[in-house]
This record gives sequence, C-alpha cells and structure tokens, in this order.
Amino acid sequence: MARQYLPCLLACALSPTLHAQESPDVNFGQAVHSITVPHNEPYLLDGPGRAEFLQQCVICHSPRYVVIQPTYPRKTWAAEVAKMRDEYGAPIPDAAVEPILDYLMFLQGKPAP
Amino acid sequence: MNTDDTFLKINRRRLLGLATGAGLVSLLPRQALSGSPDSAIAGQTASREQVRYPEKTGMILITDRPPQLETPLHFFRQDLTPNSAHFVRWHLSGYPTEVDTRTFRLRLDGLVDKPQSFTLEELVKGFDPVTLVAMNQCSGNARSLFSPQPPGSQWQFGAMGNAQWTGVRLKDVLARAGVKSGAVEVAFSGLDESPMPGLPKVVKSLKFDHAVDGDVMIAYAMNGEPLPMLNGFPLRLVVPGWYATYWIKSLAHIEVLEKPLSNIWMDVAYRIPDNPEINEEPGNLAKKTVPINRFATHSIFVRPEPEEQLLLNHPMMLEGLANDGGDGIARVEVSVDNGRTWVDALLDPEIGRFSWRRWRYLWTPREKGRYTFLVRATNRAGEGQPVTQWNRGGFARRMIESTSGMVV
Repeated sequence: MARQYLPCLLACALSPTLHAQESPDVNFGQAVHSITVPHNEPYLLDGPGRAEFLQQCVICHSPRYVVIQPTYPRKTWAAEVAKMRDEYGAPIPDAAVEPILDYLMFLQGKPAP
Repeated sequence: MNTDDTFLKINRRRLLGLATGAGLVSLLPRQALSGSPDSAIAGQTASREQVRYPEKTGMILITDRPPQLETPLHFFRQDLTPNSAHFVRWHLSGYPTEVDTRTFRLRLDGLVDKPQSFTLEELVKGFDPVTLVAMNQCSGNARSLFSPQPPGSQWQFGAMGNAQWTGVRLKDVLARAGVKSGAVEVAFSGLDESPMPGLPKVVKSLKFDHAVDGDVMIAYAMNGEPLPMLNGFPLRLVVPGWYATYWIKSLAHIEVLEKPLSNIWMDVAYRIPDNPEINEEPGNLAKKTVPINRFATHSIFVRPEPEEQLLLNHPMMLEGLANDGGDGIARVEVSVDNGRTWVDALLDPEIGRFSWRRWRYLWTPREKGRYTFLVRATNRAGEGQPVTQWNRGGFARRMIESTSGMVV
C-alpha cells in the first residue's frame, strides 16, 4: 500500500508522550472505501440437530465459532447457548435448544446422549 | 488421537517428572498448557490455518464471520506491527465493509450543550492532531493457553499489536460540544450492527475523568496511513494502556452519560475477578467481578518460536516483549533453568509509555536436549507477574510465560 501521507514516524516514535504536530494531510483514499470478504465457512456434516443449528446459530455467525473450540461437556455448551439467547438476544425457541446441543456434541465426535 | 496429542502427552509427562514445587504450571511448555487433565479433553490442537483477508497479509484464522484474525508471532520482532498484520476481532456479523467518506459522520450527543456531527475533514482540520505509539491487545489474548481452556476465541499470543496512532484528543472533541455538569461516563459505538434487527449493538463506556485525561484519542491514522477496514476505518477510539474492548472500531457515535452505562458489554461480558492477580479457581469462582480495564504487566517470548530448534554452541538471541498499563517496564528477567535463577534481559529503548518494550537476552546452548525458558517483567510501579493464573473468561493473561524446544 502506498504511503498516503507523510507520517512523523521518527520524531513521534522517539517521543515518550502524546504531542501535537502540524495538521496532517490525510488522504482517506477513494470516496467509498470498500472491501469484499471471501466466503470461508466450514461445511457442516449431517448429524442430529443440524437443521436447528443452521437455523438458529449459523444465521448470525459462522460455524467456525464452534469448531475452533476444544471439546466441552454438554453443560458447558448449554451455558453457551443460554448466553447467546439471554445475553446476546438470539431468538432461539425452547424446542430448538436440545437439538442444538445434540449437534454441538455430534460435532465434537460425541454421541447425543 | 492424532500425533500432536501424543506428542503433547509424552512431553507433559516428561516435564511433570522434571518439574517440582509451586512453579509447576509455569514450567510446562506453552502447548502443553493448552490441554488440561481436568477438562473433558486433551486441549485444543486444531490446525491454525493462514488466510488472506482484504487489506491484510497472511493471518491466522480464528473465525471467519465475523472475522477474527491473529497476528503471526514473527511480526513482533519489530517495534511497530504493520497495519496489514494487526490483529482483527469483530463481535457482530454486521461489521462494516464499506464506508462512504463523503457522508460518514461522527455524532456526539448526550449530556452536552451543542450536539455535534463531524465530517472526517472537520476532525482532521479542526483539531490539533496528536500522535502516540500504543499497544493494542484483545482482552482474551492467549486465552487458548489457560488450563482448563475457557470457551471463546482461541487465541495464542497474536491478539495484539503495537502501532503509532494519529488523531485528535477525545477531550478536545468533547469540549467542542460543551459537556454539561453531571457527566459520569462517555459511551462509544461503531458502525458495526448485529446480524438481526433488534439485537444489541456493541457499546462501551469510559469514566468521564478517563475520557478527558488527554491520552484517549480518536485515531484517523495508524502507522501513518488510514486504518484498514477490518481494523476500524475510518476512525478508531484509542484508549492507551487499556484492553481493546474499549478501542471501538469504525467509531460513529459518542454519547456523554449522566449515569453509568448498563448493557451486556459492561455488566456481563468482559468482566474479570476483582483481585490484583485476576485469578480464580474453576471450582471457586470470584464472587465479585469488575469490567476489564488496564493492561496487566506481562511479557512473552517472540524468539525462539514455540518448539524452535536451537543449535548447540551457537549463540541465540532470545527476544520478546513486555508491556504494562502505562507506568512503563522497569525490568525483564529470563530464566534458562526452570526458574532456579533469573538474569536481566537487555531492554530496548522506550518508545512511549503505552508502547510495548522489546527485550533481548543472548544465550548459548551448551548441552543437547530439551530447553525451557521463562520470562517475567516488572513495571515501574513494582507490578510483577504471578506464576499461575486462571479465570473463567480467559482474560487479562498476566502469568509468567515459558517457551520450550530442543537443542540439537
């Protein structure tokens, strides 16, 4: 990326504290700054509760939020689902909670009890 | 069980055999720390994939939607982290991917005489610019190394970066609006939106006295260039010495409050045990928690990298960095003998009290076999590092760190 205005890199880096300088010539680039983020979501294997997981969880965030986690007991996952519902406001119906937990356990390679 | 698991188990057993006393946990190699005999599993050993995102270099993928990208450790061999390598962490899938700089406004309202709406040009031209070097760090940096491993973004040490920020003082901007008496906090939010209508936005607040301390700034440039979109283009709140949860990205709204902000981001999330060690036990959680705040004093190894092989009789410059919440690092010590003796590392010149400070220590391996190094920092206020630490959120990691590998 081209340097878009002259920084006071050296002088400022050497100064131990916040200090004023002349008004910089900031160039924010094109009038509309835009990026395109690639799709990069893990594919979800078929398993018990997959439909509920897709409908209630993946609608808001990538399944990667789940597959990066270490293996947790069902009660830890239940607390996570409760957090999503009660704190972050996810409108997960009661009937979907157990199927979602089944699928979370399935993803970690444990059978749904 | 894959080969990584086997490797970790073998080495944990070996180390348990070698280590004695209270320092046990700190003597385990980093990777072994990610597993726990207490947790249901043997630690996270998922591969750490490198990905390219717009305006970013190859970063370690933590999550994709919303994106969380970790900085590879080798970028910390320099004082300033390149913008393209600065870590990324969004909470909501409605994070901004497009900003029209002609229509963008920063709104300022609440308990003020004259509510304001600033264009970018008004911020750049209408206020005295300021610049400082400050380290930015996710509250959950290195969460994956806690044992047992708390749920959350499973970062290693790369959820941090050091940058030179240029912008305007928050106190100058607030003064333009004329803050009324009775202000207790200032709240901040960005362009990011929840993925579904009606779900809460990310809003964070600072105490009013903190907001006007002259250090807190609204940055429009990072290392002399506009911010990457994923790092908060066009404006980002910079709260020097405080965890990144307060550094609101794509800052679009500032509200002066007459009573403390109450929402999940202040009352429930990002809270830490109310004790200096920021510590609690899984079976005995702290009764009282407080919002996360200043950086704890901490230090890490940058070289050797985890499991890097060192060569017998070849001098090796051990390198790392240390930080605190703004008093400044006074001392960094390294142990090459599992904590029996400590030697002072050489500190690089200080480049700002909110910057991290890099350190070095020259060491020559004289025996083949496994090495384990420890590092600990002390700041100018005398704050050091505990041998062990854990908390339910995996926040504010401040324990003594170690790194291990083989001398060959």
